[in-house]
Amino acid sequence: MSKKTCTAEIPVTSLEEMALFLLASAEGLFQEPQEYGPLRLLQGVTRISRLLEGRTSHSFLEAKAKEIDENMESVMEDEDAFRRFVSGLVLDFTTHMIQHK
Amino acid sequence: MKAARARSDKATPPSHDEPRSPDQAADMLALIKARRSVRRFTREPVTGEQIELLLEAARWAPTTFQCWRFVVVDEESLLSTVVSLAPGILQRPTLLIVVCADMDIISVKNIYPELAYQETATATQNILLAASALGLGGCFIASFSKAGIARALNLPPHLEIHNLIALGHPAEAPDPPPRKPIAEIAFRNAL
Repeated sequence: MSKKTCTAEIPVTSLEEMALFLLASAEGLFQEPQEYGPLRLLQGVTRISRLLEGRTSHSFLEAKAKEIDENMESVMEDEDAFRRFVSGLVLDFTTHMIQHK
Repeated sequence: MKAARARSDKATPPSHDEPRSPDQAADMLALIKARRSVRRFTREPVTGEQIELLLEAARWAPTTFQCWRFVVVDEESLLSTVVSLAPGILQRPTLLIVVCADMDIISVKNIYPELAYQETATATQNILLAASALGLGGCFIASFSKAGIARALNLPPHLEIHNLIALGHPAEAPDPPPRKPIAEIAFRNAL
């Protein structure tokens, strides 16, 4: 790891709201279309980025969250494109992690 | 909101017999076609007057029993909680209208419960059209925790949440989505 640490003080309420989002997603996904599962997880990534907004430097995560935000609705339009997008994100994050070890 | 309701009650709706010009029909159709589902919003607040107009539009939706109830959520911290309970919201709106049906009315009058959905749906459409006419953006949200939001808003058990409407000033201008041709979806007298 690059030893870059997150020193941001995140209000407990914000973390609880994140938890609430995850729980409400879990509850809803029992009835919702299967492809909404990955969608909710991507929303989770953007929420993590928003938690850090203005609190610490997190340019990679921020850029990826923006990318997710811009492409999120493709799940409703083109499932294959959405799958490719998610796989691309996994590779991008992996590359980033390896380069910063 | 109480004062607003009192004023609205005095307003006389235009008579159905009033002549309409072809321009009015064209304007209405243009408004219907121009409405988009807007999911991203600026931080510009929606004014109290705009909220009143949205509720006024809802009030004049086609209805038999007026079983709809609307809860406007715009208080910062409560809005955050409700947004967290609604994964269908992609980005935090300026305000939410929680559209509910009073199921007591439905059971007392022994009405089939689907009617409640029809009433809340027509009111929702009116709100979204009025929002579009006001230059606001909006989108109805179907993914949310009913029980969680009912608790957050302290709703009595007879109020059933049917949908949420996310509203605010638009931060995007979505392209018109494709629509099926009329010949594919509509039939005259028989299929």
